Amino acid sequence: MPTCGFSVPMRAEIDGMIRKGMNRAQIIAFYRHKYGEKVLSAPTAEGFNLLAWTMPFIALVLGGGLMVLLVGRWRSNPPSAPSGSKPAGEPSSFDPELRRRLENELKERR
Amino acid sequence: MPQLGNLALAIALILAVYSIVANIYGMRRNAPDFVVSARHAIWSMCAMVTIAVVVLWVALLRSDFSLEYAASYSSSTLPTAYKITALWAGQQGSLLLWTWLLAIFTSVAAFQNRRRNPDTAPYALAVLAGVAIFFLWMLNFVTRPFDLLPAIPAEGSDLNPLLQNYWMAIHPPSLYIGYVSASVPFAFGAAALITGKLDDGWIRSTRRWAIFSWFFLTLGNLFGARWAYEVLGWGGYWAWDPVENAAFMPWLVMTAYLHSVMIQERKDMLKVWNLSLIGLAFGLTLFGTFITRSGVISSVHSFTQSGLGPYFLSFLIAVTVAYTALLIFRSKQLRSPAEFESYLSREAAFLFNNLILVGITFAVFWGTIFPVLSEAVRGVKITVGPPFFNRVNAPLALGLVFLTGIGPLIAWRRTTADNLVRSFAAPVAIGVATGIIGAACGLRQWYVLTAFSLAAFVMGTVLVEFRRGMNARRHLLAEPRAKALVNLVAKNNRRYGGYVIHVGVIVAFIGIVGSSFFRTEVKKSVHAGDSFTIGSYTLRFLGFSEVDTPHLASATARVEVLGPDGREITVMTPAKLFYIRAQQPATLVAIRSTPLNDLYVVLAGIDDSGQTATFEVFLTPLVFWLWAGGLLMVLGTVIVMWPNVRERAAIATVLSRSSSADRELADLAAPGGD
Repeated sequence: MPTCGFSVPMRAEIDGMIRKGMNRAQIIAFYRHKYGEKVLSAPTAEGFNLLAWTMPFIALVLGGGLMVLLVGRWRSNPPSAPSGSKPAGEPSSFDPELRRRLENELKERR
Repeated sequence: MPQLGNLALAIALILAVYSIVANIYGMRRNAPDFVVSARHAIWSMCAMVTIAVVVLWVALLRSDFSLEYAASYSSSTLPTAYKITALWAGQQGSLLLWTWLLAIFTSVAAFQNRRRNPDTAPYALAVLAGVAIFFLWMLNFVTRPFDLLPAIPAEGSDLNPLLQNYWMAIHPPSLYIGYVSASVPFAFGAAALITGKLDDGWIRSTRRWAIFSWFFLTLGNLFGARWAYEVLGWGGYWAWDPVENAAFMPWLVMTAYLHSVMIQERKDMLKVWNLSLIGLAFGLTLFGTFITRSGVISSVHSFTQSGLGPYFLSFLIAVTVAYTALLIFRSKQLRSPAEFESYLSREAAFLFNNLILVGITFAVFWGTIFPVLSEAVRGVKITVGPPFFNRVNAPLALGLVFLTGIGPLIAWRRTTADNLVRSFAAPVAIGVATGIIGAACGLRQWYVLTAFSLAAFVMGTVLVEFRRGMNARRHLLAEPRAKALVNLVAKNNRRYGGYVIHVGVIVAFIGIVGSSFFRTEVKKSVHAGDSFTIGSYTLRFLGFSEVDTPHLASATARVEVLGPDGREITVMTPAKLFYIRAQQPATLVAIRSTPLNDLYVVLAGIDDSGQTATFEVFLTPLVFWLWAGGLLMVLGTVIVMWPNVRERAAIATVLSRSSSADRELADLAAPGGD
């Protein structure tokens, strides 16, 4: 932010360090020493912080594994009658005339 | 006047408690009069909260600085529009707005269900009233909007300058509407669990609420992004700030929910999952408020911070425990004979869609709370910022985009190889061609190439779908092209509205990728008359003009923009502002937006002589398409929500003909039940 009291002087300071020939790693190390780890915009990839990076993917793999497991169980269920994908919930009073028209239309679309 | 506000809030609390007692007593003892009475209590509660809101608005508009709230968030010189929006500038007002919306939505739900869902609606209303009690309790005892100051100050301390902006006026209400309306499907889900009526009735009864909530969460996020873009002056629109994350997570979960309920409606499976998702969505809205208000996680958004954290956390834990207990209690009845034939099916695509959406939600959640964990475990404060979220979510986003293309075209149950080729040959060709053209044009980043190819692939699938539908109508009904298109959308509005939303998401995605990868930045100090370049533009600083009002002092720079051919395109006017009451500086960004790129000019500084200005200029490709995609999402949602006249008429005819009207169809025909 242009009015930020922190970033404006910091940028000037970084400009100075670049002019002095410090490289990226050195500048980062300088700030890390000065302000602590908080100054880094993302966790480092070491120690406890590794958990930050890996956990989302571990969770995804676990979730995916659970899903595959469940799907495997569902697949072993015998499939119901081929015409209705939702046999139990089908409205009992579904109008036969509507059904006939629906089937005709479906046939025409093919 | 403030006493009236206090009184109204106290009565509202009593009415909310009464409505729960009456609803439960009425249901247990089979006394319908009590259920009716509870409904009236809810409406009266809404009236009371409305009175409180009006009282606060009047105090703000009349600059009644005896009221602490008005003195803190307004001033006599504040423009009237912002006096109105000051209602949600502070914590007490925000909670009041939240409570007000909740009261309104509860009242609407009570009205919609005055004859429908007689077995479950009273319990759902009791759950909503329970949530209202929490908020009313806060307003009555913890964070009171109508507290008076011991001495009346001559002037208010004004609204935070950052909030004196059009987008900030509409961003919080949109987000709150989205947050709060998610309570309604949640309450009906909870009611299904309480009563044991575990069919998809609760989903059907609240589908419009869920879409409504999703719609406003979308708007809230977009408006917030737009505000950040126009006001904060750093050239970006999204920084993965904890509060942004708090707004984004419920959106992700609602998106997952809107997809997975389709499986339950069709195949009567995933009951536990859907109930869990809506519980999660509701919990995340509370979590969002918790992290914003508690100060547990520092955020640039914490305009109002206080000791509200423990209350929200306690309520969040109580809700989570109660809801989970209900789920476990009903777990036997929730088991359904699920069937699943093939991974090459729409249900599989939806499952993966849910996996990724919830995966992203978790990643965002994890990144948001990780600093707290780090401090607790290692005692070291760390920052989890944009590089983390971008890197973790980028591959997941690609997966999601891919599924956006697959899901709508693949058949339910299973798909044959033949079918796959027929549906996907053209879209795949379009995607591959886009990748090749991109590479030929010099794009080298693999992510960008993949993203653009996938986006083109999805566009291809939608195109194929529209073409197929139009051709069917043209051949069967001999409709001309344009009419076929209009009718196709009008008569299958849910389906084709959904495609329009998908296109919107993809267009926004293109904007996000383009603006994230190709932004350039120049910072220059120049004298009047000097010029500098960025990209193909040349910018010449012409000079300043200054304006002072009692509210605001401003210095506006005039910058002439020249195109590559040296001709003047426009004059941009970035400014520095100084808000007099608040004694705070601010910047006014100048943006020139085109479909190709945005030129974004910030007046970063003026030297004392008034002759030199420092500019920060950003050139951001394709960001235009983020907003365009947002508009398409809005359009698509309107199409989805549009009442389908023909469908209703058909159902009404069926109902009038059949004596034993099926409950499901009756639900469909009733307003709000679509």
